[in-house]
Amino acid sequence: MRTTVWHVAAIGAVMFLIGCGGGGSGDVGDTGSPELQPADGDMLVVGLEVDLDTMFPPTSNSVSASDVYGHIYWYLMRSNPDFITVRPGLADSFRFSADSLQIDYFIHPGITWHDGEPFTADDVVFAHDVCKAPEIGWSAVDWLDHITNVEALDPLTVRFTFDEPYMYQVQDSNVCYPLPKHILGDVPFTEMSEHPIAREPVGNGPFRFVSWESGQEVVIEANPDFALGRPHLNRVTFRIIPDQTSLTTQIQNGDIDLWTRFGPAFYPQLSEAPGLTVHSYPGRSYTYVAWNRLDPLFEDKRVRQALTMAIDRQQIVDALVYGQATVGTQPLISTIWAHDPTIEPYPFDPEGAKALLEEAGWTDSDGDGVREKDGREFKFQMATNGNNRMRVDIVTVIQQQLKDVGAEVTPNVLEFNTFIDQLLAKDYQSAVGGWSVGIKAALTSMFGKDALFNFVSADNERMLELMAQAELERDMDKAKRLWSEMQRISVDESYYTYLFQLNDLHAINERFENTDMNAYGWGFNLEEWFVPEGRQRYKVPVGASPIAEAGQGSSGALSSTGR
Amino acid sequence: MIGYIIKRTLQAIPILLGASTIIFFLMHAAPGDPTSIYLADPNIDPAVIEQMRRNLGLDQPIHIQYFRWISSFLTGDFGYSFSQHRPISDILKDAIPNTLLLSSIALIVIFIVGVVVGTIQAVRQYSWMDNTATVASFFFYSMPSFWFGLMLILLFAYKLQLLPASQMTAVDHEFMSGSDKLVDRAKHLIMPSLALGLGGAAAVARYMRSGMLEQIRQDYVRTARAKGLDERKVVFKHAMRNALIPIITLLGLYIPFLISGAVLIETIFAWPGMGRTIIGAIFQRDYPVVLASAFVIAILVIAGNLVADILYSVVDPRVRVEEGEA
Repeated sequence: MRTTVWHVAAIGAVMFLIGCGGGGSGDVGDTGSPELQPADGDMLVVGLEVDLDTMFPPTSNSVSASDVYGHIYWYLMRSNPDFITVRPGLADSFRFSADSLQIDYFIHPGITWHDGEPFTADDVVFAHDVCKAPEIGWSAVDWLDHITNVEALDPLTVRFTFDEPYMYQVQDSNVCYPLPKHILGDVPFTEMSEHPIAREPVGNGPFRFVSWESGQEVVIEANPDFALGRPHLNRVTFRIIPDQTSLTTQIQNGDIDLWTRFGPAFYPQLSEAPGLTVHSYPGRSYTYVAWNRLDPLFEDKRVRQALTMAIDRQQIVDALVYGQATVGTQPLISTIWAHDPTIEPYPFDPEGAKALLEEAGWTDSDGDGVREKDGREFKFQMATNGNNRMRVDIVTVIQQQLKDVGAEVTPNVLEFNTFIDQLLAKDYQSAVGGWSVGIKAALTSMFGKDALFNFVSADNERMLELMAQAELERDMDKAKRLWSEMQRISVDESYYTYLFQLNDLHAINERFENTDMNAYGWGFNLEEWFVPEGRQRYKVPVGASPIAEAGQGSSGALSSTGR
Repeated sequence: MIGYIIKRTLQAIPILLGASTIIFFLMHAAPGDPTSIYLADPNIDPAVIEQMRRNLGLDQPIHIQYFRWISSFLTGDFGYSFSQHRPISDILKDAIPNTLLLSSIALIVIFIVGVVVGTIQAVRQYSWMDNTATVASFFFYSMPSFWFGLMLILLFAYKLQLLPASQMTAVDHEFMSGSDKLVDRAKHLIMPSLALGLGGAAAVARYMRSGMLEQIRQDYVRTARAKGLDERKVVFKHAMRNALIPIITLLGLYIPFLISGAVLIETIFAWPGMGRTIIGAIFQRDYPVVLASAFVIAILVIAGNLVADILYSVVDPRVRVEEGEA
């Protein structure tokens, strides 16, 4: 396979790199042996904990849904796991204009919608209008802010024009999925999310829709007419199984082949289970302790530093996450390009913590094991959301660890929405929370003055300055340096204690080959997965499937078109 | 009788409206709203969330939202789900039959198992069968249904691999022949209906046992035996009929229990019914779905009680509902 990699670091002077053998990293093994030759056929059964919300990409907000429609709809260019470079999708390549204000995308000839209509540049222009419409209420609409115009130069060439050159031009022009204009063109924006296509999508990708029974399963199958070559698997069935005990049972007895994003609590069992491969890599979420500076207790930087040093983060990772996480160091985690691997985590140092607290005036004068200062005892609440069992356990461990340095923590376990409300209102003392972050380096929403998510009331002027500079900087190396300096200050300030960056964990049946899972997602190269001939389990045909029983939902009309 | 049914139905209307109104205000009083789920990513634009709230009508004052909802509700329009992006009538159409199927099979389990076991216990009082069944019924009665469900999964799906762990059909269901499809569906019903029904069956068995024991000691049973009827006829034709009367009352009591119990069982067994719908909707603050499903469950409960009351008067000739009696 030929992978085209675009590097957008140096704007204006885009480098064109061609890498070989990109696709599957490692799993293919010895492709010379006949039993590992790619073969078409078989079915992948995926267990999903929650049902999809909708398969209309602009109004969907569920990961389950994008896990499915991300293979029915494709982007022009698709992201690589570094979220900076891209690989071909429906477009073969693209070209920046000399002033870097325009990008032309060259669509692969012969791509059709699953109903047989040709996919053209007009569909890209149309989708852009849909994604931008306020009536749609797309959650990533601000990504389109710098795009001033999208036009079709010819059926296979589409041009994006920007108001200025910046770092994410390629990303921002590949965040809104192309939509079928011939189906949705006359539908008012307000009615689009209710159009049948939201439940029976007509896409343009390697897999096409077969059926969706709410709360039960979603089925997609290979698109044999895909101009870039059909995927190897005949079918992928997503089964909705909300209970984790059921999922553990079913992945082990072979009822399902893949359990995506399973909780670390299942890691010891599944990593030992015969017939299963567990993929584990740093994911896009992290867990922190926030110290509310509006509370005089946490006003002093030395107190926050001491508390960070008193928390044994490695022990938390080992004991509660079974080692499937990295101790946190900074707000920009390792999946973001501006992450600085040279920033060291604060050392675990209870003695140092005690010394710092003494220095800050917190002493245990009455010998009861809890420090005091100016008549106030070092006692505070630590809030978290109770539906996340791991966070509740974290609070308990921290409670124990902070007791050793003379602080008394009372856990305050809340319902999720109550917890969020208290954080937003800054009506808490300390809290264990987490973020799932996007692909861009952006921290204004967390550290900016009066920013919505500035839970800790951070107000460091130098940080704000650096952040503003970094976000405008077009040179990637310079930007990295600015981010690094900014993050070092945030670490020194210890507004937050970064506990860990969680790994994404996926368990898959061993019969599947070439399964490359990475920060992009478990389905990074789903179209290239295969099961060698001798190992195939299900005999399911493509295209000839009978319509499921009447009355069982939507396995209907649209799925049988274009065959 | 018809007048009685009409009267009961009319009485249900204020109850349903009152319950829905209370739930409406309770749901809106709870912290968060349907856009809260977007707060997982710190880089979400607050302006975007405001736009979504406007699109969903959540920026309106609460009394306006209430009147909007109640007026469309009264005209039969349940509205549109925030989280599933489709009309609520479609959601209910999918979920209600699934819940009814599971609950009715569970109800059958409750009564058949309960009546049979209770009768055997009474007839063979203090035998080893009676003692074993007594211990077993206390065990099943005191056991939470979700735990029992998990144990069934571990034993029959994981260890023995005899039954499917969850869902309504197998993954290759659509490729099966007609008769295999039926077998497949039945197999998927066994564990959830046992988990849902056995606790109730144990209770019914206790009622049935004491009811039968009481009847067997009655004079008319002694008379029946004295005139030389064989034991089977005495038990089944005479004693059992009378012992069944209080069991019918239980029927009405079990319907709400079944539907609330189904919330957990449906989650454990991935059964796409009303219980899972309402739980999912509560967590996602999908107000219209919560209201509509609560409304449907309230109707099922009221209807269940009505059916039990009517059955009661049918079975027991001594209890007749007078025209116009409440």
